[in-house]
Amino acid sequence: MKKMIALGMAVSMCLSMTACSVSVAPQETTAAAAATTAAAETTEKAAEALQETEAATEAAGSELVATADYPTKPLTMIIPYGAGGTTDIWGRKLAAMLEKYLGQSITVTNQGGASGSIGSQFVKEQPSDGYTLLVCAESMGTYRTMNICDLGYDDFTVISPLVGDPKVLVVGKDSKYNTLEELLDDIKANPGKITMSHSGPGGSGHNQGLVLGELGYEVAMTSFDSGNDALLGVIGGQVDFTNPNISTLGGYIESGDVKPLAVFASERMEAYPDIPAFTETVPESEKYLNIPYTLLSFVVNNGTPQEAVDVLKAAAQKVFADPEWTEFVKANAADPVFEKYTDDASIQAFYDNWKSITCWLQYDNGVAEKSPEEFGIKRIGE
Amino acid sequence: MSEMGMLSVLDGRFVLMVLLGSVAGLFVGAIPGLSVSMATALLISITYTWEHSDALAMIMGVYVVGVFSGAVSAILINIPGAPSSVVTTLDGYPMAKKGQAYKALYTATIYSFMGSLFGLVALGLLATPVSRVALKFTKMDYFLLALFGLATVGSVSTKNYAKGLISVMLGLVISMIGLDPLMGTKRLTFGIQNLTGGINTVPALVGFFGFAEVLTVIYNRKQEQNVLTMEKSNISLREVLKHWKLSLYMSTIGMLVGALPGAGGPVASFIAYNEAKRLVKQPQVPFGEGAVEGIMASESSNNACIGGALIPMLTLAVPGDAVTAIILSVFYVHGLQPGPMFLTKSPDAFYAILAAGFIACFALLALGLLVAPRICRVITIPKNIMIPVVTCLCVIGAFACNNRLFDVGLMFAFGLIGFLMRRFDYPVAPLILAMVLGKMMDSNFRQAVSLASSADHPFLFTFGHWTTALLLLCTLAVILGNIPWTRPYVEKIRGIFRRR
Amino acid sequence: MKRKIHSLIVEGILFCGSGLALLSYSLTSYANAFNKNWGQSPYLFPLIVSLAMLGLSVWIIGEGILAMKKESGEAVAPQKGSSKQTLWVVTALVLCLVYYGALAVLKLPRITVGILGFSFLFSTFEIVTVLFLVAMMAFLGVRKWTVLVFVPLGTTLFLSIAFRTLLHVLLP
Repeated sequence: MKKMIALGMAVSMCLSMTACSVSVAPQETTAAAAATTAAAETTEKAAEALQETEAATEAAGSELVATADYPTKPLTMIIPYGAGGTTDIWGRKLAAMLEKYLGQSITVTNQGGASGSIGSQFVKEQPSDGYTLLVCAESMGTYRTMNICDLGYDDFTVISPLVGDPKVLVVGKDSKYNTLEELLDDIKANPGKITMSHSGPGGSGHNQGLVLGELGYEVAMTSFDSGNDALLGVIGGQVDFTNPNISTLGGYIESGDVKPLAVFASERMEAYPDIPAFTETVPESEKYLNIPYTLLSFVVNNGTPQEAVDVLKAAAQKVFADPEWTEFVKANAADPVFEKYTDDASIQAFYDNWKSITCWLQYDNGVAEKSPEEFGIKRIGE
Repeated sequence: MSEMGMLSVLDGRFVLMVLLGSVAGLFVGAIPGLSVSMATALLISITYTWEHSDALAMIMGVYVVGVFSGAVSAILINIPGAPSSVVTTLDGYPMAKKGQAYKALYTATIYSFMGSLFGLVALGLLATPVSRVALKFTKMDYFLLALFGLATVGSVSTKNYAKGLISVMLGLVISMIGLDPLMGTKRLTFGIQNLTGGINTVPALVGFFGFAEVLTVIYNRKQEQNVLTMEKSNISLREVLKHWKLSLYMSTIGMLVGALPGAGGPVASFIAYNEAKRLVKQPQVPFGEGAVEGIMASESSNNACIGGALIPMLTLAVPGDAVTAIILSVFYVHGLQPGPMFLTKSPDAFYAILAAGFIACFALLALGLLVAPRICRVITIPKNIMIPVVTCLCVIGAFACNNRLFDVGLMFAFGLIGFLMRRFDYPVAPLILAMVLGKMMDSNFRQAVSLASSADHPFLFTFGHWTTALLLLCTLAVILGNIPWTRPYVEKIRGIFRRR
Repeated sequence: MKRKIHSLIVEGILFCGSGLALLSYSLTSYANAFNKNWGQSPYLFPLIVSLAMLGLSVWIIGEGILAMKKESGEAVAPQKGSSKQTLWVVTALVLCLVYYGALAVLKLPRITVGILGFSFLFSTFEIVTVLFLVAMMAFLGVRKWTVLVFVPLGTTLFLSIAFRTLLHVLLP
């Protein structure tokens, strides 16, 4: 036992030393890692991206937005979903970039489970000191009506909406459907027989299935473990179609495993101009498609000192202006929601509108358990 | 092409990183209560700011050696380091009790090495085809695979099949506690907020094995000797290596099961153990009483899972087990995009992983052989000193996985249940496996039902696929073959097939 | 003397009871759920498990009856432990509960000590653990005072350094 202890200690010491020697120069390594990220994303622009990031890092040194009182210690960011999902990717990217402007490290922790409610609940229970950040997905707006937990956007102070991740209707490469019309016609002909997989009840994928239903296209929906799982079901030929986020889909379009039929929005995407917008085929869907269904938001607890909120908002704006961030947004073909809503009033209006469309959509279709009225969510147009 | 990639990463720094990871993996993994996933999670936070080849090197070291080191505590003190080492306790601990701890560790080292190597070779050569096969697995297949695993456990770990299955059911009930995996509805939480998140595997593992062992030792303390002795014996490599053919078979099982996301090491090792029991007709020592074949099967297959689990992670961005889920996040942090284009887009990262894996295999071999003769002296520590220390380790292990004392309380409760189960001859191993698999079985079963409900012929839709039919047959054969009333018929059918 | 009931039968009845409890739980929960569709219902799986459990409990009871017939009353239950043995286990459990309670309730001040450039933090966990280890060893019959003093101290120091300082596990 003694020898074991001694050995253990020796090893542990070695470990801690490496840890120290590495942490001496975190700035450079972060920049290098960030540069690698950019390079991997956009090969052709790698060189410029590198230069830009370097420039940005240099500038960042003098652009710290931190004040004397905040932040004075490392922060924690909670991602209420598992590693590798959309929320995780964006949350980690945001954290890595916020570090530059806050001058403190941010530890990113995944606390997945139950549509993100477990991680969100955890954040809610933390002190409102601005040291616990949360990057949440759109399900935050529907926890109450879905009777998952008693949380909503109004429990948190929104620092900024982040990005929307456009959803694309896809079928497997061997599917008999080649265009959206063919698929929709078949759904009309066989109501309730065409299968669709989605990422989970109340999630963005499910909401879109409901929109299809509202438009008169009845599909058989099955809830899968995650968006990626739903996509693999289509690739494996077990399900007819699904609607993954473009960020998880990118590689599969490139490898030819799936056929993208339409982007579930009113406009085509910049990065994939060949994929038609859903409204081009079904113009009457316009009223449902003017909001991003997948929406990430960067929030902190209510009651966080105004000073901390201001610092975080300023830091977030700096991040959004950083070329490294804009490159990342472009590389992932994300919808830059953060550009559209910058002041408090428009953010508030945006979330109210979002809630009323989604919650009523779910309630009317028997997905949500409780009426949105209970929580003071008005029907749109009322 | 691959050699070029290999050579370019074979510099000193890279090797050093792998070695560091290996040593860390060995020690963190060998501490009861700290599993390999815990080790990766703890060490990974350091690597976020590193260059990605360094980070990958370190993580592969932790992963490969960490999976092996779970066997160390399994053999020496009957507390498996991770669910995948549960099977190792079945024969490992009895061997240690007989004073053959060194032989057990030696066998575990050799076959862990072979298993890891096999898995990684498969990863290097067969990544794409295997991922294609994995894609063909339907929801029902995953459910049946898990069920098959559970059915075999019931049979391998006890003489009374019904007791084994009862233990499985208890595990499934425990896995149901918390929010259900598909809808997020609270189940069996009885209004206790702490139960909402479900019950973590670590407190259960530590409780059912570790603390239950503590109580059992205390219960029997006047009947068993306080100090175990060690047999001084020379072990010949030839003697140990004579099962290499079987080991290849077990590794294949491990690699394939590992490649199916969600099942992973625990299922692989149980299936392999069952196969070993079936194929080795006359072991020198009966299975369950210290057969080296048991350790061989378990360790070959759970280490081969490493290479297997990396396949869906790299090619489909689906983590095969808890550790690969953590590794996946490292990939994203370093801007690597796993997915169908990963092998063509980032071949250097792929070769770095392979190279690190191979180095880690040799590190495992070296560390295992170096540490085994020393670490197995642990069992010569008098029990009345060891037991209190083990209790403390159990407490820390249960606490560390989620940083809440509630888990420590759970661990004590599980320990008491585990102790009572042992007293009444109920095996705990099936319970742990069922707990690990419960959520996955639940969601896959419901998804299969939901998918079938819209089909024209639900039954044909669900079981019409050849993999599904095959798995269904295997599962039924195992279950019926173990029920006393149906066993004769199953034997008869088997006889018919054999005569052909 | 009354004929002893085989322990398998008792166990079977116990599991039968829990199976029934689970069955009624899943059925009533399903009845109260707003979304009535067994296909994706969260209570489908508990239902199946409870049915399987009922089947198994019948099997076990059956085996118990068979065994009783065969051995006609001869108890095959695991050899009955002496009440002394049970007392030991209970004492150990009580010790552990006290330990748990101390960890949960006590909030001792944190003391930071710097040695060789490392800073060690001592808090509730360290002190309570040392006491617990001493108590447990004394209970298990360790009488050498050197062992009683140095092993707990050494173990605690090692655990504290390994977990708190190096692995950043948040100890209580």
